[in-house]
Amino acid sequence: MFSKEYLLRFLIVTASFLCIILSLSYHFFQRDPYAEFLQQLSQNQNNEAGEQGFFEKLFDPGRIETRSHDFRGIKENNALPDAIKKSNAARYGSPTGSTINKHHLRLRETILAQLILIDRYGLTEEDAWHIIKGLKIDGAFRKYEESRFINELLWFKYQDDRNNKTIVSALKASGISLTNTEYTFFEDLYSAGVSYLLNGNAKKARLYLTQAYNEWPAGGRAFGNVYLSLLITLSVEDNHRDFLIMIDHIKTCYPDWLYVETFMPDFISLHKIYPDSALLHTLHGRMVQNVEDYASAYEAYQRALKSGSLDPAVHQRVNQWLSEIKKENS
Amino acid sequence: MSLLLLCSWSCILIYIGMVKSKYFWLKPPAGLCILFGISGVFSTVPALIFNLFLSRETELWVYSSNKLHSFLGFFIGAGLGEEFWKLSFGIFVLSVIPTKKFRLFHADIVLGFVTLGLAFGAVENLIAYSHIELELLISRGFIAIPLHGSMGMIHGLATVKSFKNLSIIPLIFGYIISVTIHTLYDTWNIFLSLDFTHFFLTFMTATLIFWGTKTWKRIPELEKVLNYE
Repeated sequence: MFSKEYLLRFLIVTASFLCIILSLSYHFFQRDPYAEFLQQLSQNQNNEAGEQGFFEKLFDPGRIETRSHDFRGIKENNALPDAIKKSNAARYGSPTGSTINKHHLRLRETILAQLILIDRYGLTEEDAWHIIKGLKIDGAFRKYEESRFINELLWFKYQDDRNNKTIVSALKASGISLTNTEYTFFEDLYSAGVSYLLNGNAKKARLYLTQAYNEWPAGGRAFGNVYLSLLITLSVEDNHRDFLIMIDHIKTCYPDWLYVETFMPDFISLHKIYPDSALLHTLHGRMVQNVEDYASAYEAYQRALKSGSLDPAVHQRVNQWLSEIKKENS
Repeated sequence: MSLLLLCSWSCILIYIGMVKSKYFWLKPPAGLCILFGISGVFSTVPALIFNLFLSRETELWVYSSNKLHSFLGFFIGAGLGEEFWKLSFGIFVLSVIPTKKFRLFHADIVLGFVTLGLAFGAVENLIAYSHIELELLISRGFIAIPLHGSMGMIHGLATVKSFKNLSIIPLIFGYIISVTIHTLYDTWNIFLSLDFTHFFLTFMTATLIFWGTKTWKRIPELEKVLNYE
């Protein structure tokens, strides 16, 4: 007789065999997401480099900077108004920011890779920190880059918990420390500006954001964030003249205007910090009106009008936008 | 509903074809097939965990840029892993059903294992491939589902042979053969160019379907499983 026991024995032996194979695979081929990511990155860079001829690659002085520029996703935005584009072209700086040599650039890219791995692939902050600490890249820039990494981690934490005042204060301290170094560049100025804005100091925020706006090398989504942050700062400061100029270019300078979910949490946080700012309500209204959320826009404009502190010019524009809403609803 | 049909249309056709071509005197073993089908659905869970472990914790990822890693990923994950879970769930069903209550003919066992393989293929389509392009999803119905069905047939035949010979050796051989075929099926594209891969996949699937049809025809409808307790 053929017993069921034989079948079960076969299953148990095979399952044990599979467990051994899995254990061996884990032991000998343990996955290193960091190495995999870097390999992928270098392959992409090689592919990009492969499009150029040998002599082009050899005599291209900006080859490292160009790759870094692409990797950071900063692209020229053709939708920018000509005046802004021209002025940006005049101010065009190094796309790599303040990196001084290839070692510095390598460190910055590696840290950036860690941030991407933390954000998207579940790498823990501790593991990322160990990897960064273990890198054999030395130089005066090291401390600065490590501070930038911590600053970025604080931004991640802020995204998770926007009401945590400790994180907001830490962001400000971290942002200021980054603006006082010889390597400081436009991204640090932007980060410091926004952290000041979140800490309720709009005047300081405007100083840093204006500088970041002037030094930002190109248009695109990253520049769009600077643009919107500066516009918010002007609203909070009640600078109606510049506000009215900038709000007309919002769709061209802030490419993410369509994605309400990306900026609306920031507006909610800012309303808590600056509850009486009529211009901020106006900006809020205009942003949601752009995506045809007329009910929210109407409410925001009403809040702005109720405050009674709107400048006549802005008041007139708000009435004009309200009539547009009425026309749409009728 | 349409997605479910897209993922499982060939399973239904193969099952109906097998039942229609075999059962002349007896009713098809509906209860047994349902049990095998359900176990086929559930066998995807450990297989999925097994493959997830390989892809997340080890470098033996099927889409790895390293050819050896990719091959080993297919061999261990798709070959050894998936075939083991299918076989073990089928054996589990055979072990738990009361042999006095259920009719246990050779053809029934083979049909049960094929049903298990088809159910596994359909759920695999649904979980892992439902997002791919429509043409590719339909083409999986011509290639991947028949492959899982034929692997089920190999498992069924090996089990029947084990019962006949009172030996576990045919079962081990059946498992090794199914692992080899499944690994080969998945790894053509690692060693060959795309055109050759398509050629070999088509050829392999056609051969498997031809062999499966011939074998299924040869299995007698009324041969009962003996020597099993």
